[in-house]
Amino acid sequence: MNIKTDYFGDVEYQEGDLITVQEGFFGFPELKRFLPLQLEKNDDSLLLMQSVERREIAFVTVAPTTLMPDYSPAVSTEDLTALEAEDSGILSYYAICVIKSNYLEDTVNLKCPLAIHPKTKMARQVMLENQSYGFRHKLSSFPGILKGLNSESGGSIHADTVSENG
Amino acid sequence: MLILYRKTGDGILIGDNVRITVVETSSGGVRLAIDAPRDITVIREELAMAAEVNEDSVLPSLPSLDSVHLLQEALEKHHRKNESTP
Repeated sequence: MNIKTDYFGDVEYQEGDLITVQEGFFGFPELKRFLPLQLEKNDDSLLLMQSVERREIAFVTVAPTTLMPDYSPAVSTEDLTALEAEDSGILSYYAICVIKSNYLEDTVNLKCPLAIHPKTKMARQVMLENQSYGFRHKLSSFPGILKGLNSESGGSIHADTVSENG
Repeated sequence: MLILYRKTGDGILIGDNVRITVVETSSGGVRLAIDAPRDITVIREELAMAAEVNEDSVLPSLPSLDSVHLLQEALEKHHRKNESTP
């Protein structure tokens, strides 16, 4: 199958690449089918969640452990049941980023990550019970990130669907 | 701001059409029942905040992919640094 995206042009994908966000992202309840696109080939730390239903809708997401190695989400029993997950440890998490033109203003939402069941590809945006995770953490506040942001960069972005075993 | 005391089973009326009833209380939490007409949005406050953040992050509001690219680079360098630290 093929999808036209605003940012990567035409992208080929298989039905099995799609994830189903059960209730949609908060504020976007009607959009359920998303195609995770790697921003860099063979790197799952930063993914663009591209809506299949509305091409202009896509979310930039980051694997929270990239920023915070000890990220330990406390997912509610209701969400675990809906995802048919025995515990929160078997799920993959992606936190939504707000990207600004000034990178020092970039933020990440650690409070409501997208929780994905890797086997069924079912997902939910969950509201974590963890008190220390907020809606808008400055990306530049994480150790090491600011250093990377400050340096000049080269290279290019590739669109690539996430591999099955990725 | 009005602050009032209610027991389990007690209610509060807001306007002519909204009723909030205390169903259950436990340590640190309270279960409420809300009766309101369909055209009144009832939403947990944190969900409204989450929706607002999502609105901000959706790509049409993104300046350009270059900004994401910058983040990508930063993460990569961060990664490499972590890997090289024993």
